[in-house]
Amino acid sequence: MEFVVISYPKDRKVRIDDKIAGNTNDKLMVETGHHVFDLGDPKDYQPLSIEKLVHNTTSVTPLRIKDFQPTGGDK
Amino acid sequence: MNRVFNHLLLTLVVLALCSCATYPINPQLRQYDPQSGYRFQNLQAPKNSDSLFVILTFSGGGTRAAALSYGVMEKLRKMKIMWEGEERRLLDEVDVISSVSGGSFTAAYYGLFRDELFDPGKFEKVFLYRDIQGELVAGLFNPSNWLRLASPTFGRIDLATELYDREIFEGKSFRDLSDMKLRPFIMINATDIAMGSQFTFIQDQFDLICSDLNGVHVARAVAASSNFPVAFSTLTLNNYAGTCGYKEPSWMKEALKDFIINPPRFNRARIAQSYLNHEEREYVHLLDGGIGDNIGLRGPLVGIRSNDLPWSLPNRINLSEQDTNKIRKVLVIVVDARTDPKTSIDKSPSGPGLTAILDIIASVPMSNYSFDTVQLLLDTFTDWQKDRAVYAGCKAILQEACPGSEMPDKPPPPLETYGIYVGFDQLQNPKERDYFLNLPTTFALPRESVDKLREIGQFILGQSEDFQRLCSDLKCHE
Repeated sequence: MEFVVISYPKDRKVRIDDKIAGNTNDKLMVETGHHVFDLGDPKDYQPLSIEKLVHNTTSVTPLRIKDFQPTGGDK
Repeated sequence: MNRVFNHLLLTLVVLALCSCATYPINPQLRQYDPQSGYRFQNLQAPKNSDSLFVILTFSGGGTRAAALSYGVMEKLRKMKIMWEGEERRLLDEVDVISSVSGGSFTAAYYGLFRDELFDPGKFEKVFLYRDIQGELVAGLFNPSNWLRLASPTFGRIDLATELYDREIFEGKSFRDLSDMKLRPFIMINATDIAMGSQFTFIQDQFDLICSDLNGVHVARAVAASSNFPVAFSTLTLNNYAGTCGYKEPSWMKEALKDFIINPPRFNRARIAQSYLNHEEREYVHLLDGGIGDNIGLRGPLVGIRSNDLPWSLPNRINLSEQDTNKIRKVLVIVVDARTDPKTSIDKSPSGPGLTAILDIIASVPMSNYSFDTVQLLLDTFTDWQKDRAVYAGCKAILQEACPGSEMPDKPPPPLETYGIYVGFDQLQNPKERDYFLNLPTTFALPRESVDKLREIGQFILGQSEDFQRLCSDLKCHE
């Protein structure tokens, strides 16, 4: 099992490969491999989705995704 | 001239009758809709907490497997636990039952009829203590079935389906299971012979072939699951892929890039994608679920290890981190009626005959694969524990070196896991072990054997170290 943390200024649901799979800023359990991450609706963030290879992580060295940033009034 | 005409007429009538007999066609799905159909996420759990997640798997092995799994169910029914501040039956905490072949009879019956499973006038009478094997054979020798069996689209498996439907499952379909909207989620597994892969009778699988599982009788799933090669014909499903608005899910596209770093995920995507190719796969032919996985654990393992399934356990764990109803304990009980019959092969200088060789080819790889599947489950649980241990170790080092400092992230979920294997190899008494390891695979066992299987299933489960640890943690009592 791999670990991913998606940093975002607010609590949002995280979708992995189009399925709701956790929350931002939590340490998420993710299967090894390629995945597409997004924050679902409302689409007030950029980029709208991001593809990552999740591999060779541990519980103390998770993959940190810091790419998502709010747009408009969500800042 | 009259005689020729009569012969011709008779031939035409026979051909017409043959062509009338066909397998029950699985209905087409009009529109893909993830909110409907027999899916885990459409089931509710009124008396079942998410915080204790329980998965059972029932192996193949004819009536032997059905009786062993029945014994385990009897034990779970008796065990009362204290959980979430109230006393409840451990049986009511079961979330998923995945089954193969003989074990599918017990799983499907419980899914449909719930506690009636334990009523002596029900499952015990219609299946466990009944000579189903004899009735299957009698059906083949009944002249009224010969014409139907001559049809190329009606086989011995369809005759078996009719018997199971009429005599055991009371004509119930997956719509009955869907309408109950209750866990446990019953996963009845067969084997897709073209891909050599597991084919599970759940709507998520039927979405791929744009078919409505609600219109399929449960007996047909159980027949496919217990469709022993050669004894029965293959069971056929029509593939309507591309007609219901189902689109290839994004995990499939991603997983196809994982051939090197995660081959099993790549393979799942390759298999799932094959159903979408209607031109190449107009039909799906199924045999016994035991060919793909004789303990029914492979499907649940994907649910335990992957984010790809709609009922993915990692996703549920991730999401529950911010809920009050966190997943805290995961229990998996594998019920395996594997046998190890005594052989006299090595007592003779000449090798075994063709039948024995075929039997070895059919059973040895299956057994070896089952051992590896159980090990995968235990390794997964061990990895989860290691993740927590690594985090705790790093935290201790950090706090010693820099008192007052904090780890940058939260720890992994504090999951307690229990992996239990119920199989005859665990019996200490050699005479008793030999008795069970030499029971035949058949749909007719003597009453005494069924009784003993029920008792031993309860005994082995009760003796399991992990079951005792669970019972200690949950204050179990009968």
